[in-house]
Amino acid sequence: MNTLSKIACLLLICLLVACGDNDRFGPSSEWTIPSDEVMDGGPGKDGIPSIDSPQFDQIDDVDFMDDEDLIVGIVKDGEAKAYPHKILDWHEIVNDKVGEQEIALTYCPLTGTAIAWDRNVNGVLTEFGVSGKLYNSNLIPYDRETDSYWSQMDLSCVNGALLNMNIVTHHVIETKWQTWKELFPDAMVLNRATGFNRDYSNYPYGDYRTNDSNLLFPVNNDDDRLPAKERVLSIIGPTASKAYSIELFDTPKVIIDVVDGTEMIIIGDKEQNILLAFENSLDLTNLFIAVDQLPVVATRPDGTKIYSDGSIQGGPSDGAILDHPETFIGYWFALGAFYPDMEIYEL
Amino acid sequence: MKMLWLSLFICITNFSVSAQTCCTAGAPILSGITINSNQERNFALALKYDYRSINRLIQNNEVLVNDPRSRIGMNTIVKASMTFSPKWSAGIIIPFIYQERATISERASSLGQGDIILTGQYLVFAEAFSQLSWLASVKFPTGKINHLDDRSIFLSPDMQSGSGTFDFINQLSFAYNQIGGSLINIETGVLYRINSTNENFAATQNSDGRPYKFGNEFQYIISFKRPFTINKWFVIPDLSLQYRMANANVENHTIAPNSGGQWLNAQVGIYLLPKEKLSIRPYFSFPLYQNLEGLQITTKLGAGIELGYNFSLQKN
Repeated sequence: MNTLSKIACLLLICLLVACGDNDRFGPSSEWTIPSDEVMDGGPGKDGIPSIDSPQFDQIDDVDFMDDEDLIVGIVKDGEAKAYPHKILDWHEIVNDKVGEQEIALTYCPLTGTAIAWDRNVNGVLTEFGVSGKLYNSNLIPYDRETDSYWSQMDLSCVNGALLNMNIVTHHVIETKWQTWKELFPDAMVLNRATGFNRDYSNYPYGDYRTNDSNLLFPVNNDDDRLPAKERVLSIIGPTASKAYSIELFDTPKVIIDVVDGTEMIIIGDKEQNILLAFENSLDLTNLFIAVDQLPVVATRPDGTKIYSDGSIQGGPSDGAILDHPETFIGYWFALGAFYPDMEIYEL
Repeated sequence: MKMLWLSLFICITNFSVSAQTCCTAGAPILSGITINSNQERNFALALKYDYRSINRLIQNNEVLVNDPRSRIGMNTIVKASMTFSPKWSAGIIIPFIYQERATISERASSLGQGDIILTGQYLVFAEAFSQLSWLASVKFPTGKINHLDDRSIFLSPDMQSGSGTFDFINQLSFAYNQIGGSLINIETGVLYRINSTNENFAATQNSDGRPYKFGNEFQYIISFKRPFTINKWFVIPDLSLQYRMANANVENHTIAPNSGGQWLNAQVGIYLLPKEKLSIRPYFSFPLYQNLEGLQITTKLGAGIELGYNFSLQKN
């Protein structure tokens, strides 16, 4: 083979490799959700910047939070971190590591949903960014490794190389600042040194959180069984899902219920602004709400104490940890749109 | 004769401060609306190129840094107008709009014809040194409104070339020439634009789309001009100030939280008149004050050039 032929072969190989890469990672028009219901929110891809090098403070050093402000907390391997809504409203995604777990905390201000995603996707560590697209008013993150687009509330890849793949999630605790401080007084808190100067004291969406008639983007299923902006805990099972409104818990209580064939423990208190769900794998009965004894959230007469991360101390199950179902909190209108068959728990 | 023509020229030049913030859908083409000559059977052609760097991120009136976004807008506007009688004239404006939205990971763009505007003007009065004109315009939904991104998703309404709506523009302008016997000329006017709602933005065969409305807006404009002669060339430097107040956009029948506000812009230009019927005007514009609702990316600098050709169809 002469030199010219070798160069031609080399160029051909380069061309094939380049074409292969494009096919694998290039933009695709194939969506698993109706593409004409995917909306361009306006700022563009990464126009809302994710936080990729988060900085944290100790709770005692935090001076920008009010007691009623909401946070999203993650507890892994003995490490607890809190992510204030005040910051998440402006960035929507934080790429971070909690304990030994690489996670991306995804948060959609328009649907009020915070879900922690595993950043190991298909065996590769990735970061997530904000695509600028919305489906049913909900965040569509994209992974920076394959440029695939994912639906936050559908928990799956909806466009790109990883089409149809499901995301692995990690449990979060969403509550108000005052409650979080009692749950995890040693937690670290995401601070405002994000690398972007934003007015974190200012909520960027006006009265959106409380105005039921204020939906910036349409959804494909208007479900008026509950007020649109009611905060609801959802439990998503493989074949069925169920909703628990925060209004059920105007007096604190523990609910034992079955969702998609699995018995669940739901603990809530509207005053403390906390809603938790655990799989009742230990067949615990006779549970009492204990949010007046935080960080304990429930107790049994036999001395069993259940904590917000599912860990148990005392009683016959001492040292056990309750598993979490697939669960997240969100505005009802969005849950009703994504999960039209979602059952609503009623007292 | 040349001085007479010069006076006429000053009368027919338009308010030229542009109105664009972050979107097209008609906003930048407001600057193309012209107060025409009151000379009967006068015909004017104009071609304007306008470039805007839209990369100032503002929250209320504070400029924020570290914005990953930048945008540019490049508009070419073709305008023709005809004066039918001493009182009445009419014109047409055809814009072509290019927009680009860039972030650290994406570059989306759109290029297409914008919405066409038809204008009619009535000269309320004209005296030796002053004139008052009323101008009414209708913007027709002729612009391209189905620009998609590289994943076949509709770009946002402010990235489309048109708005898909009939909009109405009312303008009243007063011009006073040779103030106090000087060569300084002043034009001042108000403009109000009423936008309607596109009920089916991004509609497809399978989807009804969603309602979208750009906010109505008010403008007050004042402009100063003074002619000079340099080596037998007429030149007319001009300075314009524009106050603009826009209501918030309405999206899905909900007030869009980060839209609307107040702008005070300045524009500096110079008319070069190399030939009797031809004018060339380079200009640049910049904001003096911006107080916007919420967080918005808005114009930092603008520049452009206008070519005008003006002739009479009347037989001498």
